[in-house]
This record gives sequence, structure tokens and C-alpha cells, in this order.
Amino acid sequence: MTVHTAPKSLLDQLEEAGIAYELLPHRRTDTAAAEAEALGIEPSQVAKTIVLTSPAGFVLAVLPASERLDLHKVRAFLDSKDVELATEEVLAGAYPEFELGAVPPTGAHGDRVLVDLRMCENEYVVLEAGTHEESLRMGTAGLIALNRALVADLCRD
Amino acid sequence: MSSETARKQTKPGDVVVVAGHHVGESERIGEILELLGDPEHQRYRVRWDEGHESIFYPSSDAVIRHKTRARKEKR
Repeated sequence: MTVHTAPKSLLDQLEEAGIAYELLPHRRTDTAAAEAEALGIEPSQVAKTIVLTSPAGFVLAVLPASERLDLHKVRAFLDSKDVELATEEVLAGAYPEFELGAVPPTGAHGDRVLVDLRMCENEYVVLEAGTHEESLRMGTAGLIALNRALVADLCRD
Repeated sequence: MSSETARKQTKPGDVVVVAGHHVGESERIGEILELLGDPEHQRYRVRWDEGHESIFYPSSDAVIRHKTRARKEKR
């Protein structure tokens, strides 16, 4: 059985930026909530990344696994009505180095990153590491600094 | 010895200590099991004191404590 691990390009990006991280192996999971359970941590500590399409390119929205994205809020924040969820076909073509549904919010392709303000309540965040079998734990401040991410309210009330 | 030099001399069996960031927060301690990556970007396989293992790439808040190695005494 093949075990998928974090792509080297992702680790190189973090190391070149001087950002500390930890890779946490776990059983294969398909959702952020299941990832939290596999790691034995609260879903609020695990972030899910939702890839959106916009006229200006891809936008990566990062929010707690326990929350749901509010597309209306994202559209209002970006001041664009043309923001949509990326389809699996689009994701597979745009991020071939990552497993489908496990794109990390590191903005490796120069994508714009939005972080939900609830994430800032935790000093550390756990993310998919480009694979469904390994998670990335890093400082929330480091994640924001890495991408010059914007912090906003992205979740449903 | 600079922390950079100390890291370059790291060996399996050494201990990594990560400082707590808040008052009252205890430090994390782990034993380095394996050195990974290249010397410029050294990452470690660590067994943490709470029991789990992970791959760890340190920043400035981590200190490496070298395992004491017995010296042969000259006669």
C-alpha cells in the first residue's frame, strides 16, 4: 500500500521562510473532522482549506473544521460576485502535486489566502499537508505571515 | 557555541526542547530519533514526551540538548 507524504516543495517553502512545522502522520481520512478525530484533537484546532475561483485567480479560504464557509461573506469581502467553489476537475489540474481535497493553504502558487478570524484564537493550526495521510502543524501567525493572508469572517453565523 | 552550530552537530539521541510561549505553559521535550533533510534545512524525527512521533522542523524557540557521551579516560 502506498503511503502519501507531504510534497517536498511544500516543506521547502516553509523551511525557506524559516517557519517551524511538525508533520503528524495519521490514518487516511477524507474530511477535516475525521482528521481531527484521527489525531485526537478538537475539530476547532484543525483547519480545512476550501479552494475558490475568482476573476483574479484562486483564493484559498481557511476555516476551522467545525465551521461552514459562507460564500456570501467571501464575495462581499472580495467585492466580487464571481467567486465560486472550485470543481474537482479544476483542482486536479491546478494542484497536481497535492491529493484531491488536501490542498494546503500555503499559497505555493501565489494564490490569495483568506484566514477565518476564528483561527486566530489558536496559537497553532493543523492542516492537510497535501495528503490525506499526514497533517501539518504550524503557528497560526506563521501561516498568516507566509502568505500575507487576510483575516476575515468567512463562516456561517 | 551558536545554536546554528549546535544544530549541525545534532545526533540521534539528542533532545529537543521547545519553549512554552505563555506564562505557565510547559516546554515540549522530545528525543531525536533520526536526522532528515539536508544540513542547511535539518529536520528531525522526534519522539515527544507525551508519546507521539512526528517530523519536526525547528525555529528559534527550539534548543538542542546534546546527549552526554562518556569519554574514555587516558591512562
